[in-house]
Amino acid sequence: MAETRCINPGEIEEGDLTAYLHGDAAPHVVEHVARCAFCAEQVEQLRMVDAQLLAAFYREDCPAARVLADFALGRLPAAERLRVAVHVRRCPACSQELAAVRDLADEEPPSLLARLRASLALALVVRPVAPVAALARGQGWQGRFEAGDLIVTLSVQAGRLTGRVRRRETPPDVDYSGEAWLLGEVATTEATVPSSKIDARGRFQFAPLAAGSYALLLQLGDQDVKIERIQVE
Amino acid sequence: MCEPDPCYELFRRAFAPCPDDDAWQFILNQYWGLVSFWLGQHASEDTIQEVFLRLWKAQQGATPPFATRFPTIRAVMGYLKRCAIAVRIEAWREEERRQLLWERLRDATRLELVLAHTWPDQAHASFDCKQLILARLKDEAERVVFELTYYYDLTPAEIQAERTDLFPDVRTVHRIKENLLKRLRRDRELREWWPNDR
Repeated sequence: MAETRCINPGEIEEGDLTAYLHGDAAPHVVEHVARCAFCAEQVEQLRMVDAQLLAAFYREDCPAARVLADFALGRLPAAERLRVAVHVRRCPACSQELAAVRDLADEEPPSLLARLRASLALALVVRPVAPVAALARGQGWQGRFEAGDLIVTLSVQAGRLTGRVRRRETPPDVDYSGEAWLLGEVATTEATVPSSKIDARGRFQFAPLAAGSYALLLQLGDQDVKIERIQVE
Repeated sequence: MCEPDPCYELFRRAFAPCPDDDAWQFILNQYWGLVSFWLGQHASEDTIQEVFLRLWKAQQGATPPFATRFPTIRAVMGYLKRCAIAVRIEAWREEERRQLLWERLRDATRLELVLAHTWPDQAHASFDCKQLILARLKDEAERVVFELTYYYDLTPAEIQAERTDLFPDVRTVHRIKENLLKRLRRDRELREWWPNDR
């Protein structure tokens, strides 16, 4: 059971227990707290209140995280920007946070790879019209893929992919110029995304290709199409 | 007028009045790594999800519509980055607060009780509760001691050095602080908020 009274109230004054809490107490106070269960309990009560207040109010007048984020990105209105700038100058904690995110402040557009993957997600799927044919002696395969009036023929042989795109019932002089991309299904870096021009007659090729599984994205004027799971041995 | 960008188109579909779940899933897959990079050492499943959640909430039921609020992919990415930076700063602050509490409580004799009540998740006071506490500060000296102690984590010696005009010695700061803590501890309206094992 906790003690209800101090063993010698004359030994300590108001402020001594808080000093004890901060390690600033005089020796006679340290000695008193060691002997007096009541005062030791008071110290613990003060410690809990002190910690709880710190948890609740610490950095109470710092700008909210989203405001500091806007400040870092230069998105605050002038008046607020000034207010935050004044605060940051005198607040080491905010200043440190700002320094940590400053390298992110430049807004960059999505990378080429992000755009390609997004195009891939939106592209029309071109499917095989028949099982792809394996070439002799395991050297590769060729296949025909269709979607609507679009026909794509592909041939993969010895690390080389060649293809042709055309439309059914279209005059022979139609221009198929565009861009073809091969995106690896395993991690691909932007620098290594293979690309090929699609010439006016719809022909394109990639070589040499590392073995793996790819998605082919064909950007044809106003339409993007894709063929997934292209295996290169 | 929307820009003809495939990345933008995905966001437009994800935030259309009839949202395209596949587009949203693709956005998560596509930008997960980027958001993780923005979050740096604070990247985790929870913090990354929080960033996307904020983007999602920003547009839920919002006016003006998506294309007006975010007319370009740059605007969308800028907002996503803003959410990531805010989450990163919040994670930083939470970690700082926890470390601070560990230091403050390491000598506590009943640590379990203290942690159960004082840990940041439990200790975040409501706005009303904070107002109540601030209303109990009776004069300028108490207000200064309170703010410098709890807003800035200054020690009594640092407070005295900072405001020699108010506090002739550090003992005065200790006295004011102890009197205030005892009063707050006894306050009937705040009683439920303090840790108590009796």
